[in-house]
Amino acid sequence: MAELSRLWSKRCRENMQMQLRYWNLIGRNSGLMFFIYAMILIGGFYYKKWLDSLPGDFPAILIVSLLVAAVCVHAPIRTFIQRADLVFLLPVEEEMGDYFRKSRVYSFGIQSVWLIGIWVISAPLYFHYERYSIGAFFINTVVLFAVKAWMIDCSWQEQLIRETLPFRFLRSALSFCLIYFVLSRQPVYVVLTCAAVMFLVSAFLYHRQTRGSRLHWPRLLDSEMRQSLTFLRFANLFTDVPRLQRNVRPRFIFSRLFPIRHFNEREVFLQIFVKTFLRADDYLGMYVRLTFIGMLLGYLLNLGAFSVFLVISIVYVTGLQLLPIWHYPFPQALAGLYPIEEMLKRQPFVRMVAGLLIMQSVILSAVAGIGARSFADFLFFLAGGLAVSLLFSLAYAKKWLQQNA
Amino acid sequence: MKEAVMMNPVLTVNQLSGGYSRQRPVLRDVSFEMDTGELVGLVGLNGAGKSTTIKHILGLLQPFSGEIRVGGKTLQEDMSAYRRSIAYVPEMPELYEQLTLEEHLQMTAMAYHLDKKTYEERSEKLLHLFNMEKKKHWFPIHFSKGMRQKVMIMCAFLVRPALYIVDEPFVGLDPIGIQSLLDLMSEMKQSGSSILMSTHILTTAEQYCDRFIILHEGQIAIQGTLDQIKKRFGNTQASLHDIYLAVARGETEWLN
Repeated sequence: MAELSRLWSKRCRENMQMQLRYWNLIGRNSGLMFFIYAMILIGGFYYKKWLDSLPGDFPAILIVSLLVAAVCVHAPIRTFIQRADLVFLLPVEEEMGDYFRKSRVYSFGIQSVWLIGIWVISAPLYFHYERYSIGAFFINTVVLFAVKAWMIDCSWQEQLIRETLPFRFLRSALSFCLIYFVLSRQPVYVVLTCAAVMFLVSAFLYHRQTRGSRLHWPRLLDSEMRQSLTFLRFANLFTDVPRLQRNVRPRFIFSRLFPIRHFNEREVFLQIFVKTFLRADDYLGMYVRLTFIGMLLGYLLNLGAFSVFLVISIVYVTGLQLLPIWHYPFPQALAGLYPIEEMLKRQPFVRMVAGLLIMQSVILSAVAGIGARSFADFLFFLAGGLAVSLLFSLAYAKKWLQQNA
Repeated sequence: MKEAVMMNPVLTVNQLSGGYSRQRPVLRDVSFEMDTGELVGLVGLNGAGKSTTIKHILGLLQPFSGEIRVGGKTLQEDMSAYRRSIAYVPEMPELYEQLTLEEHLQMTAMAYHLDKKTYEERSEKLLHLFNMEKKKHWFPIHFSKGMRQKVMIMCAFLVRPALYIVDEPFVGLDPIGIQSLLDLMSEMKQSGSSILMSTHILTTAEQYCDRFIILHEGQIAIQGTLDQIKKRFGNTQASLHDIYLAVARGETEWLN
């Protein structure tokens, strides 16, 4: 139906405009842009150095295959479905073929951009071990796109299937095999066999299973919500995104470490911030991930005294990502009306941020120190990390709070 | 009722078991029928399975076993016909934040393939009935819960399908809104539509519903007209409220 096609285009346009608006706001955050430039320059420099230091038996092709296969396999479909569609569009499900076809093409386009990005980044590593030719690069790229297209089709068929786990496992394994065979330059008949198996799976498993079945709307909506939230959460790190749907996990084990001990008014906001950090919106996950990445890089890259920059930048980025906790909405009727001075709200926030960053500095410096096998280096890293932690929380965050109160 | 036996029932739910996960089915062996022109009340505590039953009928959930027919057809046999014979008023109003009230009505008309003339006649009448003519170009997202509920009701009644499914419609509506809804439902009944209404407001249900289905812990505890249920309960003086409480408290010896 033409109206439905128009509806899709309208929604796609609106989504685009919304994302552009946020990118614009993110771009204005000059500190961040500087940090990204610096990371690209430094990263490029060390990437090259790292390549030169790799041993001859390094499983580069396997690693590159795993990486690009992972990017291919993750193929959610952006449908722009909204909650109200479950009421309003249900009667026209059969006529939504065009609508969802557009969604698939769109998803393929967007995800191909990511895919080519990851492939271009990993290409130097790959061609460090395989003879370079423009033809090889081109063929590999085409194969990756084909796998992506297949994944999008499978991922769509899965919307019509109830138990998708075995299907997802199968298609992931097949995609990895095909990519690995092509990248490791296996004989043509091996590649063709794999492709034939993929075709058969598509024709006889997916398309046969889904004939006559109907969309699993609630799951489609969930997937759409998750995808749009991923972007909004990202944008929320830099600017305040209004009406961002929040999610909260219980995290009983961690939370038990911070029980409500006494009814002191100083404790009120510390409690709220700590519980927000632990339970809401994956702040804890972000903290753990960044710390883990820092540990890994600090230990493996082993840049000597230069690791101090790594420690500093991880601590700085973590700090930036902790600031939105301040904006996390409290129920107006409760926290907004508590008879507590503003100071008693700011202090615990700064204290929590400082505490988290100091803890991270200690962990990162210890690991980087072990990597460098030097106690003096450890102390040097620690001094750098602590300085940034304290500067960030006591100076930068405090000023930021005054501006954003 | 007697003549209706000859025709296809509007809705047949046959030994339906279902829910969100097979490990923990919410509904067990639910069977009931609805005939043309009937208003059936679906009654039960929170968590008894009312909304799950409704989601199964709409086809948002797939049954683990059993089948559901609307106008004699299952969803697999003819999806468009099935879906187009149902209009649904959800418990929580689900509206598009970027559409105006009027555009919501037009969306509905589009989804159900109404022609322009019918749309205009019906929407005008509905807007008048719910006193929303002046708010045609407003965005319902700024409305109160009651007003948003009215938008959902207007959209459903614009369609005039064979079967209405109305989930907890009275909560948040003002007295005039409730009355308009009740009048509308009576009117639709007379013109041959059937209505399945889940509700907690038993006094209203008692007055308007032809039959009741009392759900308890995912099973139908009892169904029938109020008189039939009272007789079975053994006290013709009892109100639906008393019977419902008895079921909910587990005093169910009289059912066996």
